[in-house]
Amino acid sequence: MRKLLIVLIVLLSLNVVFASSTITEGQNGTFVIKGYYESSNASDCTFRLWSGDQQEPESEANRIYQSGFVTVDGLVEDSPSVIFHWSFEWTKNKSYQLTFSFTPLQSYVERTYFIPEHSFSMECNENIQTVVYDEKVSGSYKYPGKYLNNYKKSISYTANKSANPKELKGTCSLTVFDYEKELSADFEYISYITVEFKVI
Amino acid sequence: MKKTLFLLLVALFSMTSLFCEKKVLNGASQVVSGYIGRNVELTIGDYIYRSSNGNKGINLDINNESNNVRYQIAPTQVPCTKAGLLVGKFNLISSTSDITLEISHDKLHNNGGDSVDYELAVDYVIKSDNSTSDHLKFITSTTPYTFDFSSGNGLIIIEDAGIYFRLSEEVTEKGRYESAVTFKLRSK
Repeated sequence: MRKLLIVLIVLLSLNVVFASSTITEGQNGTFVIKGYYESSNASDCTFRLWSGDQQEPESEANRIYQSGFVTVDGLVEDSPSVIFHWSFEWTKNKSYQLTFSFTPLQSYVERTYFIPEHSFSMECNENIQTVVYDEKVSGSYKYPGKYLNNYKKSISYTANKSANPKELKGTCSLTVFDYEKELSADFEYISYITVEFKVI
Repeated sequence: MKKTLFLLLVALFSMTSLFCEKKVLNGASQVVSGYIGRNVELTIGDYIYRSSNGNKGINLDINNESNNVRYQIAPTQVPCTKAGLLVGKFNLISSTSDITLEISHDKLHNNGGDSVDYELAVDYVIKSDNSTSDHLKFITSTTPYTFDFSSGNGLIIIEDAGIYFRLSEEVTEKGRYESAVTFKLRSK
């Protein structure tokens, strides 16, 4: 008897799941659509940073992803700047904050990080939006120094989620000045640049 | 009590077999039905979408390259222009044209309170009015559509009307989503 009841309940359930529903005048019928969304394996944003030509390099090897460094080489009085470019593309309808951090120029000489006395500034222009980003920061450091991996000056961009196309491109220039006494063209100086993403 | 249950069981078996397709081995029977007077019936078919692994749910991640339905469900630049992914069918037979059928739906929503809107396209042909062109109607959560058949000649037959699904905005929050599509059949 109990088994028969269980069979009956199972059959009734099956009928509900598999049978079409028929309605007539004055009645309502429903149909349920199901879907799911899990985390996508594909990255939802891409950041590229490169120095040199404005044209983005085709080769992966020439790109600097997310963090990297630019080299100030052949530093002479009439070319105290290094220019780098960046692009940021995103696919999802979110707002992202990009924070650019950079260190002052430094060189590794005889197992010692060498920070010459200098001042620097970094300016960034963002090409697509009409408002020009012109924040300027500067700092001054005296020799002898040590590797300043915890020093950061930051510039933030906010990528608008409703932007179309979902892409930002920009150019930043790092300018060094007041360096005549300390900087030597014999060494290679590097500024480390890091870009951090945050969904806001 | 046992007898009643047994009879119910037999009746249920019969009902199930009425609605199922059969594989023909040595012959088969066909049910013929008819009516006298007013007859209005809307049959909403099963939810027919199944992924390749048998999952009933539609993968709503349109940025995932391994999602083979992403182009069918991705929002279009011009809304309400492409039908989308076939998820169901319905049939309507009416001996009279003084009826309306309203189809509406809410947004897709998950347990976390997130929701996204979608377009529901209905692709149908009224067989009884000698029309050969397909009719495509689009429905969003804010714009239900009412089919008014009053211009018909008295007999309405729609067979295998397709119900198609397409997102109208991108899904960004994780979860399992559901939405109810409601059919309201009314006499005028």
